[in-house]
Amino acid sequence: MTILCFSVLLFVFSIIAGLLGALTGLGGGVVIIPVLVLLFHTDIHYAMGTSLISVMATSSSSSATAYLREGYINLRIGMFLEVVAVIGALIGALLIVIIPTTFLIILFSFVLFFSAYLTIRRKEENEHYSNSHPWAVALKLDGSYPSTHQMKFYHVQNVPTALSIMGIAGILAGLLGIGSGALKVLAMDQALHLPYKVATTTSNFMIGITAAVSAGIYFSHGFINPLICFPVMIGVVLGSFLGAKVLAKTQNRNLRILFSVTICLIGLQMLYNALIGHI
Amino acid sequence: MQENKNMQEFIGLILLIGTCVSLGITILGSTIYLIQHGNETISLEMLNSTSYHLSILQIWNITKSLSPIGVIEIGLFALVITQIIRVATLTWFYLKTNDYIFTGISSFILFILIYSLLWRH
Repeated sequence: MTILCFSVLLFVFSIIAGLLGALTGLGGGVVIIPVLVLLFHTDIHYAMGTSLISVMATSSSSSATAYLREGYINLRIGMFLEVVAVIGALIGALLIVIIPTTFLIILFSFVLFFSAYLTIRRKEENEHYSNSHPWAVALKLDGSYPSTHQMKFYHVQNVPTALSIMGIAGILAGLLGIGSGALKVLAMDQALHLPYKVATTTSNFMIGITAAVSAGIYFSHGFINPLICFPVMIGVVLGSFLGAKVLAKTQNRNLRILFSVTICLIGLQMLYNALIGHI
Repeated sequence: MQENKNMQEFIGLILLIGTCVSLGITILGSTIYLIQHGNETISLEMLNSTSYHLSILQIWNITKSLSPIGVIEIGLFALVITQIIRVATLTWFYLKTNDYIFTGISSFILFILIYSLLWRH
């Protein structure tokens, strides 16, 4: 295969990755890693390095175009949870060459299957909270988001649980290159009880920062290969611009289904990698 | 508390500029690269080579030589820098509004980001 053909193919897959990443709050890794590893036989570490680039690209372009301007993202929640995620990501990336990750991956894939079930199960329209968690009040984490006709106010719940999930999310992001977005959305959806679009868009805003922390370390390992990254980066940016436009018109229910199917695919992909010894 | 609308738009603008600059540089580098090498056959060694090390110091050598791969690396690096600028802007905003807890939080994230970038294997 010529370099041109490889680049064009990867570019097309990356548009899909960006679109899916922007809609689900997961970044582009879910498509990029299996394509690189299974289709092009790239070493998993290079695939993970490329995934980090795709995550930063998804995060920056989708947040820039719509999510921040339309008021979906809760910056305070994002930054507050990001502290724990960043520490975790740093620890995870430092441990990358030491820790045998197979068991961890198998365990995590089952967590993802269970999370898919939890995501589908939640019916946020039936939930009505009149109070917020005391930490949320102290840190002024409550916010509002654009609903059908006007801005809708929401109360933030269980902050400590969300913080614990974020710590684990960060370590996994550094160790595995994927999965961090999934746990971020879950922490905000299941623990903080945020409206779903606020959870996915805030996750989208955060994952770029977490990925940047790991990216510095991947760069120095030489795991960020410009030859693989350039078609990915260009494709993912186009895909996420598109995704950000589609999000506002998409029903919460459909987003939940899309997210659940996607994290099940991540789970299957992780199981597959672990079982054939790719990670 | 609803975040200051202007601040959200300002961060959005920074992200948009950062993405466009990084995208522009990457497209430039990749176009030149594909014109020069597009017809060559890709090998696994090219995909799995660890010869692409990038650090702040090496950026200087890359800018001096300006190889297409070097230009792409600068484009990718610009994407990382964009993340640093957005956290720095938030830190500045929280400091300006006397929100010391969040100034601390964003400064810490900023510190870790810069530290990880300077970290050497």
